[in-house]
Amino acid sequence: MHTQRWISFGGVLLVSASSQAMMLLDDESMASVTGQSGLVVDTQSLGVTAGRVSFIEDGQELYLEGVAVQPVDGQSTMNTVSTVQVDADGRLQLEIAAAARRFAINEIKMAGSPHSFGRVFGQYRYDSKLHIKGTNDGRFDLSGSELDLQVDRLFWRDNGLDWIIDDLRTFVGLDHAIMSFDDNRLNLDLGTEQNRGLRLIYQVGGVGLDATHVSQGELGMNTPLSDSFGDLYLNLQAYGSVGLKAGGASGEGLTFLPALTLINDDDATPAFRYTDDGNLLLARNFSGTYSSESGFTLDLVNNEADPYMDIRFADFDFAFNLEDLVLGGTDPNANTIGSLGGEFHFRNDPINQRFNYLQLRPGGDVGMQNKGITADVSWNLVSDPYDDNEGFARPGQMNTFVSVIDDGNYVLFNGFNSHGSGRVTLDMTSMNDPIVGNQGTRSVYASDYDGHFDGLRMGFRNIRGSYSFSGVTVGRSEAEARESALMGGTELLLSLEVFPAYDFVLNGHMTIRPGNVIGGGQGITWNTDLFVTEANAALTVDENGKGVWLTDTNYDMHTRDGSLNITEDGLRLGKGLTWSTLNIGDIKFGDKETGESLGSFTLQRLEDGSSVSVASGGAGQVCIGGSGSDASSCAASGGRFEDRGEQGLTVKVNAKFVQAGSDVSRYAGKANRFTWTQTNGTSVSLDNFSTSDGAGDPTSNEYGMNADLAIDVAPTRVLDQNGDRVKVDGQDPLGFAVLGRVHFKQLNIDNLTLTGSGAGATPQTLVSGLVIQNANIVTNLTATPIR
Amino acid sequence: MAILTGFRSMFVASCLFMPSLLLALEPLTNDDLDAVHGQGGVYLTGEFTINKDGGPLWYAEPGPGQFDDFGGAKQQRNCGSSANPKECGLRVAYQLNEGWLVLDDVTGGFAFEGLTLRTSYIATDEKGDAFDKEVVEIGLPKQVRSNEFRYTLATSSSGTWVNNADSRILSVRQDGTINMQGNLLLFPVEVP
Repeated sequence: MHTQRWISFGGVLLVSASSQAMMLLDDESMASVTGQSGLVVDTQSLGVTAGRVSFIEDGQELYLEGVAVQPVDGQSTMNTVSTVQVDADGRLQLEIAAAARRFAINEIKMAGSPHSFGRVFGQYRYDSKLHIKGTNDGRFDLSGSELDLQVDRLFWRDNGLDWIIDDLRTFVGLDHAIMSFDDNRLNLDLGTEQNRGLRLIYQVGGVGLDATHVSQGELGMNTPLSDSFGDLYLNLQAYGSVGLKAGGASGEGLTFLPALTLINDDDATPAFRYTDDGNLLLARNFSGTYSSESGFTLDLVNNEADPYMDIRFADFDFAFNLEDLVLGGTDPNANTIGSLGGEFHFRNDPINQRFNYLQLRPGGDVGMQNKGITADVSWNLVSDPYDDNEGFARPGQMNTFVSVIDDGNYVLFNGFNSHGSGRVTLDMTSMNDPIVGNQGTRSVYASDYDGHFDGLRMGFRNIRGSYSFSGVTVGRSEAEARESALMGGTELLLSLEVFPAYDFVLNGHMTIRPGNVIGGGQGITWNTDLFVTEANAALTVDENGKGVWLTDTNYDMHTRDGSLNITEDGLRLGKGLTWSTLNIGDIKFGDKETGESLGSFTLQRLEDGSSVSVASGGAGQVCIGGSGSDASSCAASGGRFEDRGEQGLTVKVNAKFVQAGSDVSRYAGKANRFTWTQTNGTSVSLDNFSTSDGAGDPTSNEYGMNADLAIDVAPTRVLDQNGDRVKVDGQDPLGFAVLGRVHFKQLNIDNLTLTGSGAGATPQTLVSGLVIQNANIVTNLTATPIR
Repeated sequence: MAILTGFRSMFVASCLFMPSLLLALEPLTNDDLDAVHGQGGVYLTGEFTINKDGGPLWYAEPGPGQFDDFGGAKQQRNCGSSANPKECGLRVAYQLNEGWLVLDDVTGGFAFEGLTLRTSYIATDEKGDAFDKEVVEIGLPKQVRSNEFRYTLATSSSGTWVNNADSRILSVRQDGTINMQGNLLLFPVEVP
C-alpha cells in the first residue's frame, strides 16, 4: 500500500501517485492469517506534488508553495518498502525504507507579507521504524522506534544564490519512550540516567556555496563541493521528558516543555567533533541539562502587513560539562585543553522590559531582494547579585558562569549578566553575480564600502546589548570555587578584545563563505564591516561596577578575507586585512557614569596578516625569579620552580602593524596612530607606529607584534605585606596563573607630538623617531583572592 | 592593537606612565586602613622579565636559539664575549637631532610574592581632609628580588643596529633584594 500522505490545510493537489489494488479479506481468509510474518508493501511512486501546504494559527497562515517529492534524476519512480507486523506482545511495528528521492519547496511564505524565506530543495532517503504498543493505563509505548534520515544534498536558494549542505544525517532512536496525554498536554517520558530513552546522531559532511547565477543548477546533487566548511558529527543520548501543550503565548499555538539531560559518557565515541582538513575540535564525555518551567511557545502573529513566527521563553536553564576538549591536530587523544562546564539562566524581566524571544520574518535585509530571513532577537541572561554574607564577595546563588578545569583545579568566570535586543538578517549575497551582484560605488577597501561580498551575509541592525561579569573564582572543586572570593581575571580576555563589561549598539554585517582563503582546503572565510556606537567598555571592573571605563565610545572595524580554521596546533583566527578606528569620548575612573575623567582617546589601527590562535597546553613548568628547566637548577639560580601541569590554554595574538604611507592602494587612508587628549585640551599623539622584521628588507613584516598568554589554574606561594606565608586550609592558595609574553623584532614609531590646549596650538614634536628591537617581555603572574 | 595582557595589574602598570596620575607612596596607618573599603582584590605572585631567554631578533651563538618562534632566521649579535657569549637584551633607540640615543641590552627581571591589587574608596586624606575618591591600590610586596637586571646607555648613528657602531656611555647591572613597603594609590586628578 502506498503510504505517502501530506497533512494539508489549504488547497492540496496530489498527482502522479501510484495506485495499488486493495482487496477485502473474508472471515475464512482472516482465520488463516497467523500474523507472524507481517505485510510487506513495495511501492514504485511517480511522485507527489502539492500546490500549497498551509499551517494556520489565530488566523495567520504560514504556507509552503510548490511542494514536490519526485524520483531522482535518471529514474521514473521512487521506491518505498513498508513492512507492517504485530508482535506476539501486541506491539505494532511499521518499518519504512525509502530510497533516494528529490524534494522541493519553491517558497516558504507568510500570508500578508510580500517576502519569502526562500526556496529549499534537495535529495534525501530514510529508514524509519514506528513501534507502538498500548499500556494498561492508557499510555503508548514507542520504545524501539527509529528514524534515520539522510539528506545527500540540501539547497537553500535565496535571491537565486545557493547555500548547500552536504551529507546531512539525522538519526533518532527511541530506546525507552512512553507517550501519554494529560489534560491538553502530550508527554513523552524518555527514561532515566540508567534507562536512557533517546539516541541522537547528527552529521554534516560539508557546507558549500554557489554564489552566482552563471553556474546555477550545474552542481546538481553529486558534484563535489569545491570549497567547504569542515564536517560535523554529534552523538548524544538523552533522558528525562518533553511535553507538548496546545496553545502558545496567546491564543492558538504550541508550547514545548523540555526537561532533558543530553549525555555521552562513552570514551570511544566523541559527543561532538568538527574536522577541518583532518584537524580536530572534539569534545568527549559530555552531559548537559535543559529545562524550562513555562516552556518555549510558538505562535504565528499577524501584525498588520508584517507577520512573523514568534518563539518565546520566559525561563530557560541549561548547564553542561564536558570532560575533555581536544583542540587541533589529528590525534583524538592529544592536545586536550582540559574540561569545560557552565550554567546559563535565561529569565524574562517585565519590570525592566527585558524578554527572551526570537521572531522570524520572511525576507532579508532592506535592499536585498524579496527573499531571506529576518530575525528580531531579544535575550536576558541573569545571575544573582554577589553574596557577601561571609564578609567577602562570592558568587550569588543563581550564577551564570563558565568553568575551566585545568589539571583538576577549577576556575569560574562568574556572575554573567547580559541583555539586549535587535535585528539580525540572513541573505545570500554576491559581489559579481550578473543578476543580483553588487560591487558597490566605492572601493572594497574603503570604510564606507557599499557593495556585497560572496556568501551568507548576517546583517546586524541596532543590536543594543549589554553584558558584565562579576569576577573569577578558583577552587580545587567546583563547590569550593563557587564559595570562593571573587577577584579580577576577566581582564585577560582584553587581548581578544572581549571586555569584562560592555554596553554597545551594533550595526553592520559579517559575510561568511566556505573554504580557507589561505592555502585552500576546508575552513570559513569572512568579511566584515561592523560599527559599534554608544559603547561603554570596562578595561577593569570590580563586582560593584567600579573600575576604568571607556565611555561614550564608537568603534568601527573592517576585515577583508578573514579566516577561521582548525590547524595542527589549534584554532586559528586569521584577521586578513583589518583596520579600525576607536574613539573614546571619555576615560572614566571609578563609576562609568560619575567617575573622574582621564580625557579622550583615539586609536586607529591598520594590520595585514594578523591572527589570533588558541591551542591546548598552558605554561607547563616555570622558573620564577631565576632560570632553569628543573627544580634543582631553578633553585640554584635563586628561582622558585612551579609545575602548572600539562593542561591549560595558550592564546597567541599576532599583530602585523603596517607602515603608513605605503603605495599599496588597499592601505590608502589608513594608519596606526593614537591620540590622548586630557581634560584641559592638551593632547599627546603617537603617529605611525608599525612592526617590521629588523635589519634586512625594511618592508618585511612577517614576525609582527606577539602577545602570547598561557593560562592555568595552579597553587602558588604568597606572602602578605608582613612577609608571612599565606595559607588556605594549610595549603598554598590556588590562583589564576597567566604567563604573558610580548615579543617582537622591531617596533617603529615615527613621531610623538604634544599639542597645547589653545585654539592656535601647533603640535610640538617630542620624538621624531623611536625604534624598539629584540623585545621579549614576560609577566608571569598568579592571582589569588584576598579574603 | 592594544596589547593588554590580562589582570588589572598590567593596565595599572601602563597607568604609571600617565602624567596626570598622582602617585602617592605613603604607609597607611591603622586609621587610614579603617577608612579603606576593599572590594575583593588579589594577591599577585610572580615575576616581570625582559629578555630573560634572549630575544627574537638576535642570537648570541649558533644553536637552536638562532631561529625565531616561527622558524625564521635571527641575526647573530653577541652581547657577551667570545669566550662567554650572552644573549642580547631589548634595545630602545631614540632619535636626536643628529644620531640616536640608545638604551641597549636591557635584560633581567623582578620577582615578588604577594603584591596586592584592589580598588578602594578613601574617604579622607592623610591630613584628615575630605578625599572621597575611588583609587586603585597596589600593596607593595615586602621584598622584590632583582635578577641580573642590566642595561647599557649608548649613542649610535643609526636607529637600527649597526655592528660595533655603538659608542657606549655606561652599563648598569643590578642584583639582590629591594625592600618595599606601603601602598601605591592611583587616581586621576584635575589638570589645570
